[in-house]
Amino acid sequence: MDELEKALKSALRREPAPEGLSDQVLEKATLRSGKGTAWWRLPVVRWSVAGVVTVACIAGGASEHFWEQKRQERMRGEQARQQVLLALRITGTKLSVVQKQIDKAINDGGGQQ
Amino acid sequence: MRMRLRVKHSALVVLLVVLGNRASSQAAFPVDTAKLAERADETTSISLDKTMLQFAGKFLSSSEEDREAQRIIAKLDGIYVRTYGFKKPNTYSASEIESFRRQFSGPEWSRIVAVHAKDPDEDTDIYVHMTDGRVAGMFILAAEAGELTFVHIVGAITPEDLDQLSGNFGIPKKHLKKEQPRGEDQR
Repeated sequence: MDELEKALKSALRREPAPEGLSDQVLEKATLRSGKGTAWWRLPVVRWSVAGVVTVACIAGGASEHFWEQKRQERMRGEQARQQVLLALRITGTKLSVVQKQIDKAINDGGGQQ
Repeated sequence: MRMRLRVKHSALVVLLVVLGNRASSQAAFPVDTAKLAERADETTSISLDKTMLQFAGKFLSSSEEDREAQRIIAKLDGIYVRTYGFKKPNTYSASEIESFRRQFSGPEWSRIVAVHAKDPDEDTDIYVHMTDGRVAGMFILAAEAGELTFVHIVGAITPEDLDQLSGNFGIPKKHLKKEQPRGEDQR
């Protein structure tokens, strides 16, 4: 019984931790926590993603503004084109009427001015 | 005091800008048709200055009509058209037409064509604006019973150029082409 008690006491006696153990434990704990973090949670990745999203949003907005301006310019241009054609059509029609009247006047022997 | 001067100065600038715009729009269209516009049942108003003509030119296609338009507008500094349609005939008076004609009595304008037809009742005058012996514009005044049309073309254009309008813009080609050599002053 004494032998058993002695063995137990010897086994359970308090011994001071080896020097540098706490540092080793902390280092391993840090390493483990590093291995456990997903790559996308790293700050560098997060900031990069945020930056890319911001740039994409700005570029998207600018592109939409550009194409909207282009679309509006095309619409204005088409309107201007239609106005030019209408103006020339009206002018041509009036000149055509004059031409007909002149022709008629000449054929009638200058009856009408 | 300084504030008051600034306000006066700003008001003067605004007044000058307004007067300047009014003057330039009047120069672009030599007759005042505002009263007619009030009475008209249908109004067509087209104002295309050089900038707008150049802008429109970029959008003209390669079709024959568009190419002809491109060729004509390349010479022009502006086209201004006003058409007033009236449901009731004789809504405007002969004296009104005469007052429009008087506005072209200055030395810079020459009437090259004056046509009066009884059937259909239609008067057409064509005036040419001369500057330094060169054509600088043209004005067409066409008065029908139910419609008045004013066309002001600004730029070095001749009636011969306008003959090219034939065959395009919905105008039959053979008619004008046939008459082209005889298209002279009928005054």
